[in-house]
Parts: sequence; structure tokens; C-alpha cells
Amino acid sequence: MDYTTLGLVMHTIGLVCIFLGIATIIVAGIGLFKLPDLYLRASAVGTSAGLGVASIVIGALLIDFTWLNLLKALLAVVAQLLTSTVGSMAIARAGYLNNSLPAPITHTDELLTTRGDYTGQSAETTADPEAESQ
Amino acid sequence: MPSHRNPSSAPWIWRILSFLFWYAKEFFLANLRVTIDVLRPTRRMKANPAIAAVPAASVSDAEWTLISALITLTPGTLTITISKEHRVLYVHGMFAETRDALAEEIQEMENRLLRAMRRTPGDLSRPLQAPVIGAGNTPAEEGGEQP
Amino acid sequence: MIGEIVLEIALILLAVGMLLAAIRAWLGPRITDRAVAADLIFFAIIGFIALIGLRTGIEALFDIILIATLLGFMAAISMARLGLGGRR
Repeated sequence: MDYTTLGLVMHTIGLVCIFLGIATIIVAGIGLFKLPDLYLRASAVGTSAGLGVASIVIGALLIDFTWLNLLKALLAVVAQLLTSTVGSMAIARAGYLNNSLPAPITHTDELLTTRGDYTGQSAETTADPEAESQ
Repeated sequence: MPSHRNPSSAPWIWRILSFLFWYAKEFFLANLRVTIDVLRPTRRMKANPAIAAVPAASVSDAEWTLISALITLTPGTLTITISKEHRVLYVHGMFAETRDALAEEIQEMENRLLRAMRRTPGDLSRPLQAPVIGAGNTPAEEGGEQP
Repeated sequence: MIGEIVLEIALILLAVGMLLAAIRAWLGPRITDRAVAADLIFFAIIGFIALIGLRTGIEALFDIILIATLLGFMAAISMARLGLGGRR
């Protein structure tokens, strides 16, 4: 890689992008501790699933730029957005069916009225037994 | 609202592009909002979560898939499940002041998506009353009937 | 390369984020909490792949990233499935 001015500028921007992505991942890691329930944690992880990974990949692209890499990186970003969405929807749905009830600060829960239909068990009796040992 | 004028007069590709730009803007703002809220001290966090049953205007499978994926992709809102026969999306929102505010936000996104996707806007009406799923609304009673 | 030391700092920061997620996966009271944490660990792994690939200058870096992003959701889906005990 040659040290032209353009290359230097792209290196710098790429490093900034990578650090932004890493910051997003660390913030999501902090969010895993500060937020009280599964759904809020999934929201926090959603920031690093979309923007975090995308900006790390784009940063790597700017540091190591070729046109073929551009194509691959764009495909990777689109694939990441699509698949992480599917994954987090599956986890949220599994969480609700697995009796991970929302934290008390959740002021409205209109899905609760449909619970008996989905799990075939009452919400009250299964509130804790499926929780695993710490 | 700028999006409400001439919904389908612009060419298809232009409508898709303008929807994508609008969505990208919302996506960045939502990322910023969630990040800032996580970094706030716990006592002053603004998270105000709710799970709302949002009536939806989507019809085809592609529309259902896209709207639930786009909702989940935006940080802070999360589709937990959908019910096609009752035409309802069950959405978890992180910054929902009231249930109606969350529903309005989701429905605005859906309106914009459907106007961009469909050749003509078509039917954007939504079911009015809340769905009653199962025999009774009390899960404990239903649980008692199970073997 | 200008980036040698900077990339190492980035790797350390990424490891911090991964450690946070690993602690949550260890503590997490339910399997779905662990699944969310495992998701975050996976995103950090993509970051590791990118940084180590830049450091060593391998040719196939973006192919690896592309395949990693394509297959990443399998872990989330199977954890969700595991949490349901095989039910759907």
C-alpha cells in the first residue's frame, strides 16, 4: 500500500469507523448489564448488530480498498442486517414463549392476554421453574 | 406531513429510494437514542418500555415480513410476534411514552413502507378493535383446562 | 503500517466488550439472556476477524467476513430453538 494523501485519509477514516464500531459493541455490552429484561437487552444488542458490525466492516474496507472488496463488504453488510434481524426476532419470540416476562417498568403488555394460547400453561405457575441455576 | 402528498404519483424507483433515505435517517437516530440512553446513569434512564398490539395494514406475506424485519432492525423497537388472521403486530418499544405513541410510530413506518412498495397505495385501513385470542382473557383459567 | 499499535488498542477494546458479553452469558438467568449475550460475542468475533485480517494482511479477509455474517444467525436461531425445548 502506498502512502499517497488519499490513502492516508482513507486509513484515518477507516480507523475512526473501526473505533466507532468497537465503541458501539462496548456500549451494547454495558447495556447488557444496565437494562433489566431480555427485550431491552435485545434492543441494546441491536445497535451493535446493525451499526457496529457495519462500521467495522466499512472501516476495514477503507483500510484495504479494492473494488472487489467493496462488493464483498456491501454484501456482508446487507447480509448482516438481514440475518441479525431474523436472529433477534427468533430470540425475542423464544424468550416470550419461555416465560421471560418483561421487567416491571414495562407499563403496557398487550401480549400477556394471549399467553395461555401460546404456551399451553398458565403464566403464574411457570413464572420461575424454567429459570436455570445461576 | 411531507410524505402524505401525492403518495403514488412519483415513479416507483424514486419512492423506494426516498423511503430508504427516510429509513436510514430513522435508523441512525434510533441508534443514537439507544446508545445515549444506555450511557445515562441508571436513575435518569428514559427507557419506558411497552409491548403493544399494533393493528397493521399489511396484506401479503412480503409486506408482513418486511414490516416486521424493519421494525426489528430499528434499535429500540422489536417485533415479538405477529398474528396474521387478527392483523396485529406485537411490538416491544423501548421509548414508548404511551401505548398509542408507540402504535403511531409503527403505523407511520408501515404507511410509508406500503406507499413505497405498492403500485397504488391501495387499502391502508386497519382493524379497529383489539383481538380477543383464546376463549378467555385470563391465562390462569386456560392453564387450568390443560391436561 | 501506521496502524500497528492502533490496531492492537482496538483489539484490546474489542476484548473488553466481548468480556462484558461473556460475563452476561455466564450470569444470565435464562437461556434467552445467554443467547442475546452470545449474539453480541459473535459480533465482537466479526470485529476480531476484521482486525486480525488487517493486521496479517490476508487476501481472503472479506470472503471470511461475508461468510461469517451470512452464517451468524444460525447460532441465534438454534439458541432460540434450544430455549423452547424443540417447540416452535
